[in-house]
Amino acid sequence: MKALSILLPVLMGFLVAFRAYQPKWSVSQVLFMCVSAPAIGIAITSALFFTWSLILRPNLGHFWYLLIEISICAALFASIWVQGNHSKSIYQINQYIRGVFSSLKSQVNISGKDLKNILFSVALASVFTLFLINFLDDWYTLTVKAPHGDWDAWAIWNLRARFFYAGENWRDGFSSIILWSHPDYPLLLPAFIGRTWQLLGSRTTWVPALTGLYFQLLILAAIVTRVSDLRNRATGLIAGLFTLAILQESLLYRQYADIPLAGYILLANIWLYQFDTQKHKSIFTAVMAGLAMGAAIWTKNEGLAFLLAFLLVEVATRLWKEDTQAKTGSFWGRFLLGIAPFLFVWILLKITLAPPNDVLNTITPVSIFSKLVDPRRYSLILSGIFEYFLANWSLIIPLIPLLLVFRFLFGSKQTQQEKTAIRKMIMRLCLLAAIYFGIYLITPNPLQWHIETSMDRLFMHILPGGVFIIFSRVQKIQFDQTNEGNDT
Amino acid sequence: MKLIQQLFLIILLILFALSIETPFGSNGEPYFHPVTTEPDHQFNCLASSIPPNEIVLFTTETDGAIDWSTSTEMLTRTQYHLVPILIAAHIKPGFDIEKYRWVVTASMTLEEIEAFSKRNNLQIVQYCPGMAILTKVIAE
Repeated sequence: MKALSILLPVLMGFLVAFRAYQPKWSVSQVLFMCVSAPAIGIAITSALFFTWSLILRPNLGHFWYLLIEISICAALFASIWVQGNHSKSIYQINQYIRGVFSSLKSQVNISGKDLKNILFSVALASVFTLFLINFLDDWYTLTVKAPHGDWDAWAIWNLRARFFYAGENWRDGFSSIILWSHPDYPLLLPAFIGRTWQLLGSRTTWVPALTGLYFQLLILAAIVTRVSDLRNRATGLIAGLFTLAILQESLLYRQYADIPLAGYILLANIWLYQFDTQKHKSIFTAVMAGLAMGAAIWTKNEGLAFLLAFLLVEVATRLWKEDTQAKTGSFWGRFLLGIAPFLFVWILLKITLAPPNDVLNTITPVSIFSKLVDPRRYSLILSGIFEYFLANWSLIIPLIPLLLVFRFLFGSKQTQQEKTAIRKMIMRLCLLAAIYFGIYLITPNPLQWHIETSMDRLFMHILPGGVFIIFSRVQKIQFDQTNEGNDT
Repeated sequence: MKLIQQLFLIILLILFALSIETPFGSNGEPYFHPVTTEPDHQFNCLASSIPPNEIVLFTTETDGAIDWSTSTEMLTRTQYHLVPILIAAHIKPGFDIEKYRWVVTASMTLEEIEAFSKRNNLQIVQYCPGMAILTKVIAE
């Protein structure tokens, strides 16, 4: 049972993601699918466990609960099998494994040709490896020092997970006695951690710690694999270096739901980009985008802001005829299929257990108006944004300006489809930032405190997408052009 | 690739390399050293290891009574993980201090805690500024 509690979410995610797989995919695309699959499995099992707890109890019938998860996996497997794709699927897996080996082999062949490229490749790979080791070492040190995570981790996310573990009295977690712990927040992280604790029979701190680490590495791996696929490996690794520098800062708020949220926003953006740039639309990509978007909503209320931004961009591009390949009814049907389960549990939480949101519950039209016309609030928010814009993150010079210089020096031409897809992603992230700006404007909390305690995390929701945008618009990085085409 | 681009890539790699923490800190101390859990987290680890069925009583008064109106204000970060158990204790009808094996105190000085433990035949298991975990002394 203990092994199944870990394996089933991973397996479920793989079986769902496998439906999106296409034979023409490159190794990097398959690797992207592999790293993102567990995130989908975590989201589905979290929603399932919450529903189970609501109908019965978190500590009731672990065997029967596991049977449901196993049945879902079996149904997903059967659906792949029954569709007659099993021989094709086995062939595809075989091809994929061959692809990995031939790719590694070609990598070895590349290196022998040019001294400059060898030196650059070795230097880049070494710096990336050292940076990654440095990140993992810091994560381990901080996790041992503070195994319960940082402030919000024990005050909100792990606290709610402990209620799921407590079993009998789990609904007390939404008591008005602990309103300070935001009982209205969605439950992807607490329900998943509570589920795993229940099935393991132990409240080990390694469950939230490793879940948090997985989502940090997911963001890194998603960017490296997708940029490697769109450009080349060297470009992917440089994008990875920037991502690692950003993620290093996220070690200050380990085990928060902001990292999973940033991961799901990135996944949804990548799946939407993939859908928008595909010549032959794979409709299952729409399901994956819907699943990632739904998981974002089930992780934090900010996920709803991202959904709103997505819908507004789709409407706007259709009205302005910006998108020449506007999404069809079949896209929306599949997208809804992905997002619906999470919207369902989110609504279920709001109508059954969650008290009203503290920000929305305390604002009035008069207070909103008075805050909207106060120029000091704009100045305070803008200075906060400016501060983070010029922040070093974990580099020795400011990171975002460095990214922009990189884009300026290595910019390249794109196809019309790529341009449209990237423009839409930029609009989505800008709209999300605008919504956050609006929330700061009207927040009933002391503004300075609100900015100081949350702006770094809001940047974290957006920055991974920003890195992806920058690197999907640069040329292939090849130190010596005479060997261009080998390192692809 | 233009020369300026090549130069930029080299500078970029150097920048990233310089941003990596070295094995020795700026004061010359070795970076790799034994890692220990911080005191308040040690407290957390111990408190969170108490099984929920061995209920914990949270008390701000020396007689063991719970005053939630003030205690929530006095919650320190070391107490958050205890809340599920504390609430369970709070809302349970027929609340009786004698039934509880573990006791958590808050907002008491060490002298007050020591006096409280002697009076109630409790042993201090863990103490950090502002709060303590006590357990019943069971006769051999």
